[in-house]
Amino acid sequence: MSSNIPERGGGGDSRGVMSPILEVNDVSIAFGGLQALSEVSFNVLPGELLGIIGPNGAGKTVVLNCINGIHPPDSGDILFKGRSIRGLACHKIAALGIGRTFQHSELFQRMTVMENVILGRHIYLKTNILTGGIFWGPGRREEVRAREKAEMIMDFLELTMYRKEKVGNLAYGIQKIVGLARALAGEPRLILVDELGTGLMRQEKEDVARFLLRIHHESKTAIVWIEHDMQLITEICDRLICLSFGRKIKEGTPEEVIADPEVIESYLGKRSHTVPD
Amino acid sequence: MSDHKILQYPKSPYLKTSYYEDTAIQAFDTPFRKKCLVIGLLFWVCFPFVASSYVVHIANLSAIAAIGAMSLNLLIGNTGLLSLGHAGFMGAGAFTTAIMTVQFGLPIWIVIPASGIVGALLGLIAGLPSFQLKGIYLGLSTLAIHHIIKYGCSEYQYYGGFGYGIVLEAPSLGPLLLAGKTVWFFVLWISAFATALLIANLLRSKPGRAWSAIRDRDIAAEVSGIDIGFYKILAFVVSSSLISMQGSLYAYYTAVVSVEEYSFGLTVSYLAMIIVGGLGSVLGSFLGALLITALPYALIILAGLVDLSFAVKEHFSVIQTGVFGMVVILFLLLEPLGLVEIWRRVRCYFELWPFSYKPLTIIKR
Repeated sequence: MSSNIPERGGGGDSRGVMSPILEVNDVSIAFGGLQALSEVSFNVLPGELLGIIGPNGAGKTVVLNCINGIHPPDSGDILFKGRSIRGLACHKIAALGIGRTFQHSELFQRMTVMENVILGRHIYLKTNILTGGIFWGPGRREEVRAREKAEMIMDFLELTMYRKEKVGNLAYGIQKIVGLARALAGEPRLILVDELGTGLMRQEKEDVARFLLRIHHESKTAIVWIEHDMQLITEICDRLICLSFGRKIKEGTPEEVIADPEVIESYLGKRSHTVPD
Repeated sequence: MSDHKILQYPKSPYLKTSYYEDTAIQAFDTPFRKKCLVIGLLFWVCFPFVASSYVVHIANLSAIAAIGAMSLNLLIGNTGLLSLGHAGFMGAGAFTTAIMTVQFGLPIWIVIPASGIVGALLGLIAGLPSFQLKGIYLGLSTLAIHHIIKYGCSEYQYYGGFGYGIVLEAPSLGPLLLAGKTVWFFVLWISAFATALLIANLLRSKPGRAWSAIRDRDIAAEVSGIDIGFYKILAFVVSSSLISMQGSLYAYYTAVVSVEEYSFGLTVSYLAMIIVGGLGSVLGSFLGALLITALPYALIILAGLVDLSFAVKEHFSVIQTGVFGMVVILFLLLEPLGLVEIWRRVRCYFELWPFSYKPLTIIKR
């Protein structure tokens, strides 16, 4: 395991005393007869980069959907900043400061990159049907301010050259970054990143890793990151969680988790193999 | 020694140097476009005095249709919600106008906002099913509202003793009597342009972005913090309020309100306008409204040029309907993005001429 990345752990010096920003307590959910999650619990500390791994169908995305409120859990509780968010509407959870990127980008295809990113700031905008309809004075000033913020984010994620492009016309790798930009635009305290690296080539994956590390170090935003690329996730994350068939089978440092025989078995089915570095 | 003189190159009209400039509507920003605007305005002012009364009448109907098409386009093209009840909302506006002027004698500047409020309330009701329904199911629920409104209006018309229609007197706005096609030409087109500006403004600010987001990916929109229920209702309210005010203007313009006019066929023709014009585009609504409104009249003029047999003349309305259907089908097959896409291609051609290396980006459907 290479560990030449400095400051691993972000602002986690006093981790023992810090109260978690997100607590997932015994969350279970079933779809029809399928138990997608059974009593999954974990905590996310402020400024932490937490990775979630697991084979396909393990329930990783469902965990994020439960946190987001897309699927309210059947039982268990989810606390964000100490407050229960279970059963809250999606948009209210988003307004509390939880950002999200999707596995298949789920962007607004017929809007430009710039509009997608400004849309990420929706919760901060106060324009209503009147000020927006007149677009003179407060409405327009707010639009310009939102644009300035969006430009900062597009600059940070190196998207400025695509700002006026329709998202549907962009390459897949860039679309994924636009999804991250949209999530970042809401200035969240917690970002849920769903398979950002999947389907990207090496160079783009390294960009993704760089961006996530910069977010991690510079804005101290907590990140929950689902990823299939073992090298990528083990080298960057502070902590890893492994899910399999809806259960949490291991939690700990990346080295511990990928060395765990049960984790290896869940991926490979045999104990004799080791996970390639 | 003279001072070294720095060459001051003129700023390119395409170059924006502030975000404020970039939020402007990109229609009249370059010198060429400004010239076009001035020429267009001159043409517009002169038009009703030069053209025949018949042509001015067609232009007036186009302006009315453009308002309706824009409001329907806001709902279908921009928010992705299907409404088949817009003829009903238009009828509600027209009947509000009829009741308020004939029974209470209220002036136009009260009646039109009141029609807007009635339309907004009906839109609120029509929008409620959109919490749960999507696509054609939502369309059917709005169709039900159309029939309820139509039933109410026809009851009023027949039991109120108005026979074949409620006749309105020409309204007056202050000292100005709104009568005659020329006066109405300015009233209607200014209303149409004001509506276009309002919708364009909404589309480039928070509500418009939220609507587009709901159209493209509703779950992602919700996760980004958009209250999709609220914005769907808002789209319905704005759209039906606008078309209700348009119905009011139409009632004043034609001076007769009759329930037969606000049939399902009217909704279909508005749907045709936005499909032919281009979904989700303000300019497209205008172009589609012009084409679909002028089409039957253009056919009459064309038919006047050739010698038609009596049988053809007898069934001419069938031919008009057939051509209307043909135009819609041809657009769906050959140019699903509508007239506005053709216009964009023409513009692109001239912008690039004599080079043609820049690929034309095509919007994914």
